[in-house]
Amino acid sequence: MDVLLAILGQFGLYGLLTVGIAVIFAATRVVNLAQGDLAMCGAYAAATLTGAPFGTRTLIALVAGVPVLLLVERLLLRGAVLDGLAAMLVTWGLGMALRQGAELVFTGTARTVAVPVEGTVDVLGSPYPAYRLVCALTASAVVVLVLVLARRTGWGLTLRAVADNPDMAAVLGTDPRRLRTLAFVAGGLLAVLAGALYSPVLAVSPGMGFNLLVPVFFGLLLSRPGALGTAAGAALFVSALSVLLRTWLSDTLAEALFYAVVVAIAALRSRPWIGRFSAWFRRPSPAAAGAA
Amino acid sequence: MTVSTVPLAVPPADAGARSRGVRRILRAALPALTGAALLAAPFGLDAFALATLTLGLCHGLFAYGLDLSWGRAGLLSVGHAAFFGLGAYAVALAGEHGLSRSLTVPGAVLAAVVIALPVVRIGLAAPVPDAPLILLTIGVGLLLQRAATTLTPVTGGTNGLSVSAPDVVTSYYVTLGAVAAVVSGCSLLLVRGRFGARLLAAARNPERAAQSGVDGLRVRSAAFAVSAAVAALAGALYAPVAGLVSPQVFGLGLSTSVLVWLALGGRESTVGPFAGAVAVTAGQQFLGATWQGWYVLALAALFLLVVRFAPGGLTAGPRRLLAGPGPDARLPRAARRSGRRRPAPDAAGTGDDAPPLVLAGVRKAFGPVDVLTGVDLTVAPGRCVCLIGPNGAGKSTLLGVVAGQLAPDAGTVSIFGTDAGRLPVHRRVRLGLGRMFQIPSVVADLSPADNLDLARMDAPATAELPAEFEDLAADRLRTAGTLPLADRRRLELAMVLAASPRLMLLDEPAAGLGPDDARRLTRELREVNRRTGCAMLVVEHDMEIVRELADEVVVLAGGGVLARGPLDTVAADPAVRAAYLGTAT
Repeated sequence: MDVLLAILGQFGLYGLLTVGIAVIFAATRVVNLAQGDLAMCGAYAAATLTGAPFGTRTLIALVAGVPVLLLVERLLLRGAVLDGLAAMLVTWGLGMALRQGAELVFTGTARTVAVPVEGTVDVLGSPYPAYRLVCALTASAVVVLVLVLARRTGWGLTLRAVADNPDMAAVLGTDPRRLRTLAFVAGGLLAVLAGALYSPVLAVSPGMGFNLLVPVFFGLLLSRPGALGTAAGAALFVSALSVLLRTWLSDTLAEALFYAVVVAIAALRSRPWIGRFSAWFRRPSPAAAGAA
Repeated sequence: MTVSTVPLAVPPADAGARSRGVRRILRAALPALTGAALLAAPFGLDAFALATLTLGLCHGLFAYGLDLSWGRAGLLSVGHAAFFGLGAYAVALAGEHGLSRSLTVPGAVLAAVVIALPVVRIGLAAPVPDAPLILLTIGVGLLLQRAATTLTPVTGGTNGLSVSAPDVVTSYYVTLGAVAAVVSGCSLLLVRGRFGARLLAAARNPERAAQSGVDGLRVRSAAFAVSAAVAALAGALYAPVAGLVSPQVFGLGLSTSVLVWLALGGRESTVGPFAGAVAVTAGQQFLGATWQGWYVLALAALFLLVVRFAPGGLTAGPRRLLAGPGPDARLPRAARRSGRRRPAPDAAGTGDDAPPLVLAGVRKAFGPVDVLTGVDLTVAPGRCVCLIGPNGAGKSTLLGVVAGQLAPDAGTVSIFGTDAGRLPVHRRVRLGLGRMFQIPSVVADLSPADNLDLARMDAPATAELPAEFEDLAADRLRTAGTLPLADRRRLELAMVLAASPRLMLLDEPAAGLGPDDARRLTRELREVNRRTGCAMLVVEHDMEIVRELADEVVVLAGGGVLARGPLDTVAADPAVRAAYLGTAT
């Protein structure tokens, strides 16, 4: 039971981040390498604005995030000259700047955030910290909400259309540029929310974001572009994997084995007989379009 | 080859010649002056400055190593410190455990290569290698860092190991010598040679590179492996200079720094990475600890701006001036000499009697969709076969299967008597296959003349181009990407012809051309077919062109051959009419 709860808790964090990065990837074909660092910003917002109640702090972080993300998208990511690799580098630079900025302002030492909901609850007989349950459930609910939105609304349909074929979507009357901005802001906000929600559970430090990047990136690599459901599923798999490894093995060994599994799965995925069943990370190239 | 007669014929000949002379002098003088200044540096600098310069050189070599993969092979690694750290730990462990450095350093270089090869293979197996490579390189770096932190008895854990160093001047000269040796070795063997030309093409247009007989996978993997090896060597030089090796050498900070040095200095150059690394390192060493954080933040901001607005880096401007007019990317001169010929079994051995192309029972399905359901087709020597059929008949898929871009699910593909069903694209090119794409595929960053040099370099045989391609063969100033569509198609045709193919695959050669250009192209193709006896397999919709070109017409419908014969016979076939117009019966 403990393990299941731990997986749920981890899923809340990874799920929010992975779905966020998947939304951005779907619309822009850019892996947002600053996703973890955006979460770090959210966590610092929760850690520093201690005057306000926790919910308000989270809200402030989200509201403040909107113009910042808008600005980043407008100034740095927009423009036809930017190919996928350059755009990824821009997000890498953004992450670097955020990390360094945080280190300057808040110093490198980790902070803890007071838990807003005290006490434990009994879940089927085993005691569990109440806040962990609350934030796991909240995060999972948000993930489900995003999935429902993507499935049921016009916005979600547009997102899936742009993910599948941006040129065709543009011809059919959607403005991919507006969608891209919207997706970047929404995906970034999911990261900020994840950071703020989980700040009492994690040690808040400038480097925390980078540690989140690998599992989230891995989840994205396992999912299908535009299909947010697969991203959530991949996040669940990644959370289960890391929690299970951690319960069976020491932290170090678990981490090492986790990366080994990541590398192994990436290697397996590169085999053509698996690749044939998937279109992961396939950018439509003229040749492929011509041959299809 | 006689094509490269007028490389830089700019109209105002006098001024052009003068500035060319100035550039030539500068190109010879600047490296000599830099070399002399570096050799004399210990006489003019104090110990601290010299130590900083030594560190800068180590960092520069690291950035130079990264440039081989990120700059030249187009493979971004954001965890290159993993390889650097291997080299640094090799030296540190040798000191700690009384081993010989001449044993551990080659061991580290070997380890770097052994790690790099599977990483790059996995990355390149994906259609877009960027994201898997980024993830894998981060993962390898974190894994090694974790190992160095936890294996405390061997590595000293978090505290790291200290490394004894000779005095500042000796250490400087040792570093300088090693850097010079590695750089000139890489430069001679990789960058300036044919390998460099292949790498440049494979990184920029893998499709056309393969079509020019370049094994892109091998070339890019090799570049990545060498890049890792150079990074390991840089780490081995760094350890005594830094005096301390801790798990941080594997870490994110250094991997990020090296990206910054290279991005600021400028990729695809020798000077760029060193200039960037030395400048940034000097700044870091001379600024006090209080400003350290702000300095790094400023670098991050500068990195963002450079990547976003000046992808060539800060040395791009001077380098461009020095290089003279023409595109930024140029093939090394070595590419202009026609390469080793492999005429023996591939090109001529099977003789002319073997038919250029025999397909038997070729099947291909994409998921549940059967596109080709058993195609039998023969192209006889010197014949031009036109492939027609309604949309979705599988014509382009068939060409992809013949070219080697798609693997058939069943059936055999035999090219000049060689069973080619499992051969990769570039090997089929060496059998004498040439291909034109529906959208012309040329290396857009290179000049037309360089494109033609590339086409000849690895071809099994070369041919003189007819006079009408003279303008393209002499054009070293424009980039091929800026040519109008008709000229790009002509360039692609010239590239295919220069490699003297014996079987050409053409996918709607006249698509997007106006009627005059289309007619001209058709005439040229017919002329080539008549003059060289090159067999052709052409996918075409335009019946005017088909009538002009075809010796034989093959109608493909529903994934199989419906009819074949002269155009008029085929056009009269009721089954063909039904396939095109829908069944009336």
